[in-house]
Amino acid sequence: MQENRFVLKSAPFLRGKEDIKSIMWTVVVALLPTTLWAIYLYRYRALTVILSCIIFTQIFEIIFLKIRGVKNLFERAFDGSAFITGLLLALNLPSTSPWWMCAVGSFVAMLFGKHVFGGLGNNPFNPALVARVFLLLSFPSIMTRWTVGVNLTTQTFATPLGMLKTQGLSSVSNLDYWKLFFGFPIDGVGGGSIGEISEFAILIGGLLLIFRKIIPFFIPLIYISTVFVFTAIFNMIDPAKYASPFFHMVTGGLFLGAFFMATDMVTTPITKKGKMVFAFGCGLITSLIRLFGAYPEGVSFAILIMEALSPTIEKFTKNKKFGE
Amino acid sequence: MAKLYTFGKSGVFPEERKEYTENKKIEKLDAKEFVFLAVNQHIGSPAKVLVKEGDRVLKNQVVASGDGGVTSMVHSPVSGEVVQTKSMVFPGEIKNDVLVIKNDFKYEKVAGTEEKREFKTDRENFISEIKNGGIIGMGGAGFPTYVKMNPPKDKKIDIFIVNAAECEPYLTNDYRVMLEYKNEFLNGISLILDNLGIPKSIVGIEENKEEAFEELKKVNTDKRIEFKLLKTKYPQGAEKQLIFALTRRVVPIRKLPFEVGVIVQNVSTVKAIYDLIVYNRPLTERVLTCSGKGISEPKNILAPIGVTVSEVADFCGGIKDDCKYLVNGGPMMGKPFTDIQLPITKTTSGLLFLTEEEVSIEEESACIRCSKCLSVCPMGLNPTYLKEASDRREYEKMDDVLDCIECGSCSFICPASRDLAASIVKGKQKYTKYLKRGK
Repeated sequence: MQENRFVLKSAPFLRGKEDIKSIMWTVVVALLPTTLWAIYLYRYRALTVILSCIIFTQIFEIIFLKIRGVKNLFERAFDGSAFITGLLLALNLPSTSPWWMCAVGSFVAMLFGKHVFGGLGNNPFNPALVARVFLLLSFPSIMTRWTVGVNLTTQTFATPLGMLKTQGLSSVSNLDYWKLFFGFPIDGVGGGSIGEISEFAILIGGLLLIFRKIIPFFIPLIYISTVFVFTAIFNMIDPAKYASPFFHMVTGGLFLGAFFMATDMVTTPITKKGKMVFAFGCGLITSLIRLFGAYPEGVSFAILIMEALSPTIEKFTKNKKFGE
Repeated sequence: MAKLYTFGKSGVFPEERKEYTENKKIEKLDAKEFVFLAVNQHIGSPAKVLVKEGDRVLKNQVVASGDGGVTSMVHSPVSGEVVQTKSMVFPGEIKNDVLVIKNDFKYEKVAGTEEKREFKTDRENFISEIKNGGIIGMGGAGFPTYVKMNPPKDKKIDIFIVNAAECEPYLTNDYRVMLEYKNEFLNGISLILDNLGIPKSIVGIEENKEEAFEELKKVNTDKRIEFKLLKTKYPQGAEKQLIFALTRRVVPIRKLPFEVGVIVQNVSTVKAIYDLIVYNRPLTERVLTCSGKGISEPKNILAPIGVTVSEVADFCGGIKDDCKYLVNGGPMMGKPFTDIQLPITKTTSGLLFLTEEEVSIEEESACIRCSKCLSVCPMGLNPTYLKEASDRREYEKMDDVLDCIECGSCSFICPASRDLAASIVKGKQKYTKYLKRGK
């Protein structure tokens, strides 16, 4: 019997079932309700945006992995991470986004959001958010061209948050919050990015991720409650000027951000306490921008700002050791 | 359903895989023509060989012994002739001298050993008997038992914990010992309580061994012994985690269990103490689990210390062709090795013969900072950062490696298949050397 038939490998010899692929594809599944609702509302337009973003992010992912000389190219390219970036970017765009803008966004996401930093795991910012903000600053008119449904091709409307910012509280006071929550179209009101219409759909996917222990429940909880409390305080101080906290719950990208972006593993603090601080910070900045900023919505900026602070937050939120 | 005790939210749930051997009675393996006695099977100052080539030794004769406060000794499991001392490399890359004894199959014993004796309850005598009996922690660590049993005088011990968690997958040796040596095991606990003057004992048994829990409760007559069912979770049997699960006492960081009034011993160690005190039988054999898909007939075996892995394998029907990994111990913390001519030692709780199929090997990829390693670490460490620091020898960021209990939960859970534990264990060695250099 030869000795060398046995292989030396250090313990443990068993591994859990979950790998990066299964995590990433579960997130994709969790985004399905939102995606399907977007397609239901905006039909071929949503489909164009979603497919363009996914196809282009995958293409750029392969190109940049190739340039970086990464081994197992296709294995890595289809680990699900680029797919999520593409899908998330699409869900953060208006239904009227042209395919070429999706391509530009995908390029920015993959290059400046991900691969310049060394690829998955090393990026300080969520690639989809980097791309979204880049597009918002580069193509402001396209990025704020909101429609109600797929058939209203010529007419565009402001989103509820936009109406609140430009036309004041009275313009949104009659909106049905339940309709907004479930994501049913309301005449004369722009829907917003295709993935943020139905808080209900986002919640279903978010709960799946919490249940599967892929995201901790407390990030969305703290983020959303912070916005609720903060907006409630101002609503109590001056109800004639500041909208109800429930209005803030069901509008804009709060849910999408809280469940799917503020929970991005790579870019948020690694410690539990750090994640809590991160979520609180996101809630605070989102509220500040919504209530006092020039932009009607602040979720993207809030998350990006907090991501920049992530390493610092980690330093101050070390775990307590057992027995310490 | 009894209440389940556990240690908080950390830890992992590996497949238990105990079904291969859990219902198999312990089978006795006899020593063959040669036994191979590793001189150092314990943690502490090294033992010296007391015999030379050509010497005749008796069964139970001390053949190696050490000096100093923390050490142990080795007894011969057979009578025969010392034919050679050679150096072998043991799992974990540890070099060790090995005494080769030619068995004369007469089993002539040292006078007075293996005979029932009257033992008068006496703390000092009890502890020195344990030392002279060569008993060390048989759960895997190999820390000399007499040292653990003899905490500083100012530390009052009020609970003696028996670690019957057996949280490592595959292993069923402690379970079988509890089922097949119920009275020896229980009397062993009583003996320890009597001699050390400890008022109470808690036996912590994982839920997947409920039969042992029920059986022991049924036959036990010593009111001082309490049985608690533990949640089946890894590493439930890690000392500090077990103490916390059973008593809610937290052993301060880098301190020993006696700081919170507790002594912990493993099932097989308790049984060995019983054999020694009641039958004057020094530690020359142990029960181990031989398992895995790479072995023909998985078994629980009572084997003399010093039989080779190859002899154990033959006893279990032989190694299968697709066996690719040999593990000394359990699959979570066991040590890999490749040489089947190595002998088993007092700490060999299991020998695993694993195939490619049952060992999960996947290519390592970059950390995605999912923070799962932090949430499963039973010591509350940050494994992914400790790995980075260890790999890069960033000593100023490495101090926490000293708190790592090497349980491997981080590597188990990592979705990027990173060998966190292996790096941190290496980092521990690097950092310890660095600290020594500094002083």
